[in-house]
Amino acid sequence: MIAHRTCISLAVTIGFLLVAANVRAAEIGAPQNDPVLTVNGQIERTNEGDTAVFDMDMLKALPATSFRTSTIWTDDVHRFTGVALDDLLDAVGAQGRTINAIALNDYAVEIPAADAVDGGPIVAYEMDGAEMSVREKGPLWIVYPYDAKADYRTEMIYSRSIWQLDRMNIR
Amino acid sequence: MKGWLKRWGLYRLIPAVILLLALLFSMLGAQMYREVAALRSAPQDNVQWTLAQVEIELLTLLDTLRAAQDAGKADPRRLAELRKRFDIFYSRNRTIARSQGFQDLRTIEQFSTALGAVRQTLDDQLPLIDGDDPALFTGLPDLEEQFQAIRPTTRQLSLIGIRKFAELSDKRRHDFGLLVFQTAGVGLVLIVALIFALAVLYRQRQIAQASSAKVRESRSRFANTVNVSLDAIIVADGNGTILDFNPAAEKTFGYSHARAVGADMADLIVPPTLHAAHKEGMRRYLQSGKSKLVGKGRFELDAMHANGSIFPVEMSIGATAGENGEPILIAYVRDISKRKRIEVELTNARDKALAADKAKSQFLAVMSHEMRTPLNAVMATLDLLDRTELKPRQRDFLQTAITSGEILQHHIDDVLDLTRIEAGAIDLQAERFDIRDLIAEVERSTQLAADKKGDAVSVQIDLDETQICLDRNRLRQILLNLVSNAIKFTDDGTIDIIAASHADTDDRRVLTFEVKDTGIGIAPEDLGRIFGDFVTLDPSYQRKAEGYGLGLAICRRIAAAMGGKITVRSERGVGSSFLVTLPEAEETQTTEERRPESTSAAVPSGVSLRVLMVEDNETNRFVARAMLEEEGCTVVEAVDGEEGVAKAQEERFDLILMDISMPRLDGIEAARMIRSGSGASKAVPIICLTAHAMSETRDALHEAGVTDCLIKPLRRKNLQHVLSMVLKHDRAQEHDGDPETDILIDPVLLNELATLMPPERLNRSFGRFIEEVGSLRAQFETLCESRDSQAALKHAHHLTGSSGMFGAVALTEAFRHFQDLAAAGDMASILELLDDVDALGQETIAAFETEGWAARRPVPTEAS
Repeated sequence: MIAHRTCISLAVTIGFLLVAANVRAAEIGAPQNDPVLTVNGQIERTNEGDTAVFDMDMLKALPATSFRTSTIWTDDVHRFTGVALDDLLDAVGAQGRTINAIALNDYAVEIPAADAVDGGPIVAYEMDGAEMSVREKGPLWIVYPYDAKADYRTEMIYSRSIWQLDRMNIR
Repeated sequence: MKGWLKRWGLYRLIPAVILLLALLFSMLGAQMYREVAALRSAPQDNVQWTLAQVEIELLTLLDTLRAAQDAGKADPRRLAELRKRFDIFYSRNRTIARSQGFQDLRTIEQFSTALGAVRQTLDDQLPLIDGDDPALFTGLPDLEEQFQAIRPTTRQLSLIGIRKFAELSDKRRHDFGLLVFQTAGVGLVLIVALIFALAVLYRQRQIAQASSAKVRESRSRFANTVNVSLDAIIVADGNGTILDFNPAAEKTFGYSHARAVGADMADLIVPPTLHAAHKEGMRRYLQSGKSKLVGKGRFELDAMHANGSIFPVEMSIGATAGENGEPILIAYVRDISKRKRIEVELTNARDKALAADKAKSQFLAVMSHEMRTPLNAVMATLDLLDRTELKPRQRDFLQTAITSGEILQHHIDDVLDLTRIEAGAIDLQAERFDIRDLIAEVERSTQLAADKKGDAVSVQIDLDETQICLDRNRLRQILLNLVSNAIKFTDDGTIDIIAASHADTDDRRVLTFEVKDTGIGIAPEDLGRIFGDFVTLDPSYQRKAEGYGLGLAICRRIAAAMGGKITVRSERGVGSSFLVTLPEAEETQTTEERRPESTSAAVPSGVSLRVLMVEDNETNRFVARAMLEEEGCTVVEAVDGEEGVAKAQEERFDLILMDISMPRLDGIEAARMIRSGSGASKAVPIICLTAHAMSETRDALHEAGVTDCLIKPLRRKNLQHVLSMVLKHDRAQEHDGDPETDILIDPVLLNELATLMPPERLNRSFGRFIEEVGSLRAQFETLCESRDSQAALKHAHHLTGSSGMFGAVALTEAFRHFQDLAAAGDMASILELLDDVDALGQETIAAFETEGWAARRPVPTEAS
């Protein structure tokens, strides 16, 4: 009985995954709400001219990654949840070597595409299970797993940890 | 400095120091790299940028605020933009308030107050910002006023930050400068250390070069030494492979250097017969490091030449460790075939000389023996002739003949004695005796000769203990010889016999006997010769005396055999002094009493003994028969052992005289047959006659049952002694003898004296002695009254000598006691004893008469 149910849920999951993969591969969809992130430059998939525009739901529809870490800008350890940078790049079919990330306040930083690895930075949209407001460095914040390795605890990485992320230009 | 370094072994620390410095240097370098990388890649002004942003974002906020106001109405887009800018500014403020990067700044009170003020302002505006659009639009002027109000505060934040970060970067610069300086310092020290190490290495190299030059030099010196060595030098490794072969070795063994090096030593120079031993020796040496030859000095061995000949070598082998610790053997070899040849020649020459010497001694011995046999007959015949009626002139002639014969006999005995000693046959019998008796005996024996030459013999005994242990007969022989010599070379002088003793290094008693004369002396150049054989000095002296003959040579040998020596000091015209030094001996266990019994009786006249005479030599037989008959014996002759045994079987004799060396059956065998048989004379005394007195012969005789042994020549006194013994033996079986007589006098001595002295002289001396004994009481009384102890001592000494000479045993003892008393000055005791001694004198005279001595006195002195 139990095995039967497990089989069904496994089949549903596989089916869902196949559909999602198909959708992503073909189409990134169009934003239904206020856009939170625009990606342009050398990308293969777009939804508004040469730009890929994301609202929060679209981002949340992408595979989510979550880790706990402390940061030098916050007290204590927090759980950050978001889209892994490499997943995001995959989603837009990024071809470039550098990501020029720009914040709401026009802070800009260049992140090498090589940083986008499995276990690497994420574009966080939740801290401790709640969305982040602009006043708390939201809504999007590129967070590296600083506690995971010493290489992520350098000035360089800190400078790449751009908050209030608004747009990305892939070059 | 260098020495100090060396002493502490700090040279070894140099690499460690350099390594440490290099490590430090690289650590500093790494840190510098990190600093530089940080400076390059992490813009320090990130925080400053943030601070600057505070003001910019405030201005941006104000801009959007004004833009919203300028719209004239609540434009949702512009208000949304305003809210976004507010949020960004708010977020900036939150970041500064929370971020670790601003921790240091937050500790500054002014900064945190300013920050708090900004925060407060922002928090106060939150309701308005988060409210609806119309309310916000209405509140915009107030909002602008509020934001304008915090502009100076935000500027202050920036300025404090800039000031603080200026300080920080100053410090960083300073730290970095210090790091650079430290790195440079360490680098400098490192360079210095490296230079120093280089210097040390250079110095080491110089030292190494110098020492290698030294090694080269010493190697070349060694090579030269090896090359010019006269001895062959062979260097080989542990396997016996030759490593070096010097020119001398090439010459000795006949192999070239090229041929020898690399070859196996065993194949090249070890004779085939020694191969096995060589291999075994090498194996043992390699295994245990022990060898019978290596490092054991010189030894001789056989070696093999290239041509296969074997020759003797003398060699020594040394070992040294080679490069791998393997042994390197160095052999020094010398061809000694020439030396060996010479040695053999010398040995042969010596053996020949020894053989010749032995032959000579043998010849002398044989000759002496051969001469003695006929001489014995001559002497015996002269003895017989002496007992016949002769005219005085004839008797003089006879006496001369006897004297000369005796001298000749003496010489022959000496030669025999000498050859016996040379053959190592001297048989020492140490016994304990009183030296005073022996010296008195010597004195007695020589008194006659001394009297003849007008010499006075005096004896001095410096001994606490007069009992000594030595071979009595041999000592007597030495002393007799020395005293006789002294008399021989001294006219009207004095001869001192001095006995003394001292302890040697082993605390043994060493006895010394000095015989000192006032004679003609010996020339210094002759002193070394007098102990030689048959030495007579200047012929002119020979005319005066007979020379030393063999006497001293014999004495020297006897003394040496006794572990002592004889030395001589002499001055021409002053006198000579012979010193005999003899260590006291251990008493030998003797089974046999060799001394003639001094208490035996003379042969009483008129006793008839039946004697069997076994002798193959006709002359000897004749002489012996005559002698025996002279003594009143009946003689039966047998010409050899067999006949002797046969006759002894048939008849009981009183005595059997048996020659030892006889054809058919010798004396020993004959004696054994008689003793073991059941004949009539089975238990009769058997006296053997022999020319040799070897101890082994004596043992064989004893074993065969021989009673006693007479050394040839057969002389009357000896024969009489034997006869008296036999007689005494017979008498003892009949009745106990006369003990008193035995104690009083020793007739044997008198009998000896009778054979030595011409009768008239003997009679005169004996008469004088009897007179002296008769007058002893008056003499000593006078001396005691005058208290002249010296004169008493002299008189007592004289009487001791004369009574000793005539065998008055008891009296000799009495007079010796008088000597002791006189020497001690105790005249009273002499006086006390005088009665007893006088009585003893009378008894002695009576005893002499009993022995028939008084009857001999009237031997005609004038028979013309």
